[in-house]
Amino acid sequence: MTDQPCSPEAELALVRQAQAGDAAAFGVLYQRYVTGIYNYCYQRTGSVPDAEDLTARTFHQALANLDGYVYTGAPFAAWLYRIAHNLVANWHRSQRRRPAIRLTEALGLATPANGPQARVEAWEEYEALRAAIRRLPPARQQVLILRFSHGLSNREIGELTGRSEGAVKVLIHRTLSALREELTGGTLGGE
Amino acid sequence: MTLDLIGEVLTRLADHVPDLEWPEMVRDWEKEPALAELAHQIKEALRPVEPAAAFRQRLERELALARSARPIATPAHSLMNRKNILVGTAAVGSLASAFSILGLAILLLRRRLTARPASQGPSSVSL
Repeated sequence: MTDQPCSPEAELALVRQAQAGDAAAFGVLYQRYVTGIYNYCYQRTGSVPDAEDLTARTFHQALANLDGYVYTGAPFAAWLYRIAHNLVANWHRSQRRRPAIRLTEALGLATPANGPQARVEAWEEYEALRAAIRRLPPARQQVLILRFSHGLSNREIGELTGRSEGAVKVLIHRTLSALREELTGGTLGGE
Repeated sequence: MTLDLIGEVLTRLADHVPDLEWPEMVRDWEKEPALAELAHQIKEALRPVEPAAAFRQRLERELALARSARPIATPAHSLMNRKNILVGTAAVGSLASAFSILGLAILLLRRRLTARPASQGPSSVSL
């Protein structure tokens, strides 16, 4: 999404600088990934306060554990998204959904350019779909968000999630098929 | 002979792979109208959102504060180097200790061996 492209070497150099205590380097990494991480947390939780809280915790945790980061060939973003993914999983385990709050937030944020009537219609139209997506297993939600909300390619998703490009393609296909079945009266396939 | 057998086994195995797996590998959801339409709806439902500017700035300030409170960073590779140096030093130390003990033992043995003829000398004279 707004994650700016950067060569792996340049990014690794930036991470090394941040590990050595360069405040500006971590600031650059933060600016580069904050929007993507926030969007990921929002799409997984559907709540602005929770997305903000999880985004903040992701970056605080990243900063606290930066010394332990070891480059394994995967982009730095993969490490950040894994932190966010784990925090969201914990959030799902510990939190109960609050539909009244979600409704207000969705109306305000999902269609910012439209009028109130259009917002309500759009919200109603897509709420069933969003609810079905949030019932998917976490790994499937993750690939859908990275593909359709972040607009990443199968290869980029593979790099972030540690899968092959082909495996991502198959997973998206299966997820779409399962969702279609769910929305037409079936049940979601597990993973 | 063995290669023929492996080839035969693999061919038979491929014949029994469920038909459901292979079409998915080659099929593209974008070419299936129903899935492409669903994907379009998902794109709309998951329209990207951005954090509020106030939140971004506040979090950036918090991280800057946390960074300044953080001790001087020791990257993971430096920790690895330090560990290797410690292990190396310990190994050299152990080796040096082992040689010292061995040297001491040899020294004591030599003293005992050299002292024995000297003590035997006068006794043989007295006899």
